[in-house]
Amino acid sequence: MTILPVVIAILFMLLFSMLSMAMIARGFLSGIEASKREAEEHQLKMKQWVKTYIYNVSLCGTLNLVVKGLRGQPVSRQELDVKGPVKVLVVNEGGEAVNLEHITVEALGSIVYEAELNVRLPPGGWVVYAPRDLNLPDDYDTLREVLDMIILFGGRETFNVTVFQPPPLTYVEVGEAGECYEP
Amino acid sequence: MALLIGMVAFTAIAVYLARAAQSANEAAGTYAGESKAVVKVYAILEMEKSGDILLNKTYLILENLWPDEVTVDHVVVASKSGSIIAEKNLNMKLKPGESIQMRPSDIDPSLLAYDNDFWRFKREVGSIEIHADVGRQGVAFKAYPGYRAFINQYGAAPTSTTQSGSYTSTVTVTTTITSTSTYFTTPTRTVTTTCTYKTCIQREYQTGYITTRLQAPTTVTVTQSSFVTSGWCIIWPTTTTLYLTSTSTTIVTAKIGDVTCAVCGVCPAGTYQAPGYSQSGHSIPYLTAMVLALTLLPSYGRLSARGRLGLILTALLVSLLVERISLTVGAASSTFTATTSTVTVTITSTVTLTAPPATSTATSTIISTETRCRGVQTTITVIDRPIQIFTTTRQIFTSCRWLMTIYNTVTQVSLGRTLTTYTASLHSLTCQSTVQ
Repeated sequence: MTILPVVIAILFMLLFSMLSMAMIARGFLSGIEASKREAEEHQLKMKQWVKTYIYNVSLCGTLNLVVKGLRGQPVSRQELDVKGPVKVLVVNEGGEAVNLEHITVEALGSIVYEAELNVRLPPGGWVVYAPRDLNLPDDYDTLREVLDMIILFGGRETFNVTVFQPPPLTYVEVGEAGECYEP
Repeated sequence: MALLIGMVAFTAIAVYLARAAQSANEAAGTYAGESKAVVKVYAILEMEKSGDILLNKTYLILENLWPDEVTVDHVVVASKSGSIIAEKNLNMKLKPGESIQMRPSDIDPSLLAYDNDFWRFKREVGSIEIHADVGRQGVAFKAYPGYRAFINQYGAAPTSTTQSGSYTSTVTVTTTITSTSTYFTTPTRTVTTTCTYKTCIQREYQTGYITTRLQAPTTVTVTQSSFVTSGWCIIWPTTTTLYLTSTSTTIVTAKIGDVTCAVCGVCPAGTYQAPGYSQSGHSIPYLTAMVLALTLLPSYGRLSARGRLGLILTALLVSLLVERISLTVGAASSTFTATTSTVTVTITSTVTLTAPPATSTATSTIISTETRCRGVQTTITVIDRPIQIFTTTRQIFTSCRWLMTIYNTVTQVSLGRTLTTYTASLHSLTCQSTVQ
């Protein structure tokens, strides 16, 4: 009869230990799970770094204007006019290569262009289109009015970030002799 | 026995929980590794004028995109071919969202050549491999720099307002006269200077008062034949053709030149001398005066009739030749001044829309595009000129960058009546000096 209280005490200690362990583990695991969820969401955000720029200025012309302005050199009227042909520039601004497999262009509520692609864009890589290649008007203002969306598909991702502005001037390449190349 | 069972159960649960925690931790680390962009690297171009040299400075920015603290412990700079250019051990702790800026030479002194040669950095550097500690897991990934630009435009502002220049030119007024006439011109110059967001334009006007008894019309051509540059400015000649239709005193005004300065937000000061001015043509009073002066010569009375006729004819011929010689009239001077560094200007952007000839609800969209400088505050007003009763809704989108484009979209909804024209422009707008 004297062993019963000892057994009860041991069982109570066992139960208490398990409860304590469960509470500590729950707090610890919840933090790890939250971190995992954030990692998954973060990974999705990274995929939105394929961007489409639509612009009608010459990046090299603009850079020339900037350089001459900073140097205090005179520029001609021709140089002041930095207008260029309308370009649709798709750029991978992320840190991973992206495979583009499909493009859909919507304008005035309808799909005006759709095609399969086989384009691999490394980080910093780009591909450029003329508006007419996408069945869009060449005139910039008209293009702004009619274009709804350019949707690019690659893998299981969808990219639809389109901006009507030139890319940063750093998208040009400047050679050792100062020659300028732009997309 | 019970004690033994309890210890075994306790150990089993502890092992299970430890393994679960380790598994979750590894999963987070794996996701961090897969995303490969735990730390984003930007290479910033900063163009800045230092004395007479234009520097293309390179800055590297490491930004922690991970929602937890990241420790960057090793950085490797690799060329485009993949070979290692430089590497360095670091112990850089970055909180969530925190970024740190460094020059290439901060990673290794051997990268000093890239500090002021951004374009060489872009040509030669392919990737930056980053080793970091994320969630107690070591990850290593290649970061490909995203390139951005920052133009220190104010670094190029003239430090003095005493910039000066001059040019000489010939302005010729040529008249085509189809009948005998009398005219007098008193040319005056008017100079106006207008500084806008990126240019200063100086316009020169020649004004002549012409009295004529001509049979109208008469064509007057004013030309300017040369230009020179001065500092930031170029003087552009223009040719203006005037068409006179009046038979009485007529004021003729002709624009003869623009001075255009390609300065973003900065207007220079300068002094420009007026062009020379010449004229040619018939002048009956001058001819008459010459002949009268000859006839009053003392020797005139002693000449024979044939000699007098010859003298008069000679005088007429000489006077005609003399008056054909262009006369240079004066040279005025003008100055225009402007402040350095920031210049606040007002630009009114006006766009006109022809509304649809709708008798029911209709929508029209107008888009105006302007290019202007970063840092320039612009006041733009909206003016409604309703022809009929209507309601309008506006959407204004702006995007400010250096030499930025500002888009102004106005959507107008007309209810029930036909509109003719609609004029609108943007409201007050400040372009931000953002890092692009």
